[in-house]
Amino acid sequence: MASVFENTNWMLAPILVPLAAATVAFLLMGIRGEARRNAQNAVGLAAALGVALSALALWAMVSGGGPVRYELGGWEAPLGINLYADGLSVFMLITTAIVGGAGSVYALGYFSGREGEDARRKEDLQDETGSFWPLWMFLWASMNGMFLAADAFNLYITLEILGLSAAALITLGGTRMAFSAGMRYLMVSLLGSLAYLLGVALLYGSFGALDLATLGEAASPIPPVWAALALISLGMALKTGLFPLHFWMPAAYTSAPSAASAILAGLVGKASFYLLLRVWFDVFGGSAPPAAGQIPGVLGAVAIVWGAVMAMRQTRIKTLLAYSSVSQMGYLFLLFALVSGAAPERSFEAWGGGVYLVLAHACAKAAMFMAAGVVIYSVGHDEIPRLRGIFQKLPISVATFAVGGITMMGLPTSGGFTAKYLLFTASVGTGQWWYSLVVLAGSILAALYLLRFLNPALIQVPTAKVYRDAPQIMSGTAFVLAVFSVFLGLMSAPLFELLSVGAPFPSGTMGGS
Amino acid sequence: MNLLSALVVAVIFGSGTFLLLQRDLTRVVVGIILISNAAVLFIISSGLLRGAAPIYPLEGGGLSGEGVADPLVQAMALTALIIGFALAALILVFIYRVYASQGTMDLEEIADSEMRDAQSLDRADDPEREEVPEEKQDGETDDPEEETRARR
Repeated sequence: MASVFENTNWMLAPILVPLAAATVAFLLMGIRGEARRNAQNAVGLAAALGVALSALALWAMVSGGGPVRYELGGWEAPLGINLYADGLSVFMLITTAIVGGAGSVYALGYFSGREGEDARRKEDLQDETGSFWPLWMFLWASMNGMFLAADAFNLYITLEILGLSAAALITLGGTRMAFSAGMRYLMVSLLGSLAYLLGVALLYGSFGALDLATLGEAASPIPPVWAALALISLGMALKTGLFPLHFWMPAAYTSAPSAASAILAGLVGKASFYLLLRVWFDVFGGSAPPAAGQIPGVLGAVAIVWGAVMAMRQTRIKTLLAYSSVSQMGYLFLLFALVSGAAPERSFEAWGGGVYLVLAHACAKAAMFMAAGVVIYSVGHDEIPRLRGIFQKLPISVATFAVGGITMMGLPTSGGFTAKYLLFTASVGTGQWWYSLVVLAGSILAALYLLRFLNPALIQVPTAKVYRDAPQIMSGTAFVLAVFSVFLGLMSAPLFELLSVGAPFPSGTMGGS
Repeated sequence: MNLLSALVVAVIFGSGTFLLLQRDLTRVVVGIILISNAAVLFIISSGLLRGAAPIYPLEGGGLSGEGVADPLVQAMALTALIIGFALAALILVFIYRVYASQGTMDLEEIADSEMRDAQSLDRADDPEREEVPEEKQDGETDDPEEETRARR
């Protein structure tokens, strides 16, 4: 192991780099015109590169020497604030580095429109004030901070920054719908994090600690802990959009500018899911009643079917994708039911499968939202009935949709296949076979709702007019990200090895394979 | 946590939840602010104990601090207050913008106009509609206003 990776200061970089970039990009908003855009783009790309490099450095550090703990200012755990990175944290950092990096590159093209250039839909106007980069960088810093936080209260703070910047990103277009969607999201997000805060206060009142590891050791099956578990789960289900709390999701994802939708759908929902995962297994691991996992499991199963059925009924690409997110988020919540099954040796399979789906879905869904953005940019709308034959004009975007769809459906070699296969075998192996039926049904339904767009898009008819050409960098980034998600299934070995570092379950035969 | 603070938190939280379920946006916001204050009070009461000022180095027993007030609770309450304030400010801005664009503070009216927006999206101001000739053959455009625009 190279000595450069031994320095735990690397742990600060994923938080500090975007935070500094956000501040600089915010100050740059004072400049006018082309110069500001170029400067902000440079700052944003540099930050994306920095996050990617530091995530890789952390990967080498964690897989070489196990979980890492960093004491901010040298103060130890009961008094000071710690950062902590294990396999799951680094995995999530890598996810943001990939999807966030692609999102940043995409935004270069998406917001490149000259002032005064004709835009068909107001929500896709150029980012005239240059607010995208500061908001997105604050969002990124808060996500990375969440993945590295070691205590329950810092998780709350990052959660709130996340909600604030995400709500502002939704309203970037400044339309009526965007403002009501953003307002709704902000309220939901605030209620979700308040529920989490109440849970944290219960934990602190019971055990006098905030550090997740200390709490995990101290937690015992007493009523306040169950209440805390219920509050935290409720709050995070609200923020992640678990059925039936997904009501804010379609409007929010649809009315945000597509560059922001890609980030929101790909990453923001996953961040609150990570928090639930972290708290559920690290703090409540031993003290939660085993049947508790069935509640998110059953709701997730309903979400898979409900989201897919709703997706089939949509007539716009972006609402279709948003309901598809409701469905795919359901898969993630299955893991709570599966890890508490009868066969403990299957727990890592279920847990790892769910976590792997986070990465696979983030890449595929972000790519598909980017492709939808290209369609809107070029044609001016994303109404499926009016996009027949659009393949002739925008071949790469339709191909992105198809390739991303491979991951959504969980066909082999895609990351979705690996994840869903693990969830499937875990549900059979733990004797909860009914979940395996839902996993299969969700994949078939995914194929059906994706064909709702692909089928009309691929026929040979006179098609809608492309009134301005989207920059190549937009469709290119989307396509590369979609292709990456398809090959994720082949790269799973090193990533599962990483996940097994500090995992809440013994990896058994899975880890090295 | 003593009974009084528990009751206070319960009453504030209950009132906040009641307001949250109202149709008027102003009431909803006040409800949210009340709930966030209830959460802060809940944090304070979760670690409420009176004692010496928690200034380092502690006079008593080092870091375990017997007889010293818990500083962490105060730090958390302060942080939560500031965050709650920032969020309340942003929500108020959003509500103002929603009011300015929709002309109403009633949640059901806003939902209705959202529904109309979603249905009429791209139809009202879409000069490109006439360039898609096969639309009309499918009988999808049964809206007379739309057809006149297509003919133009």
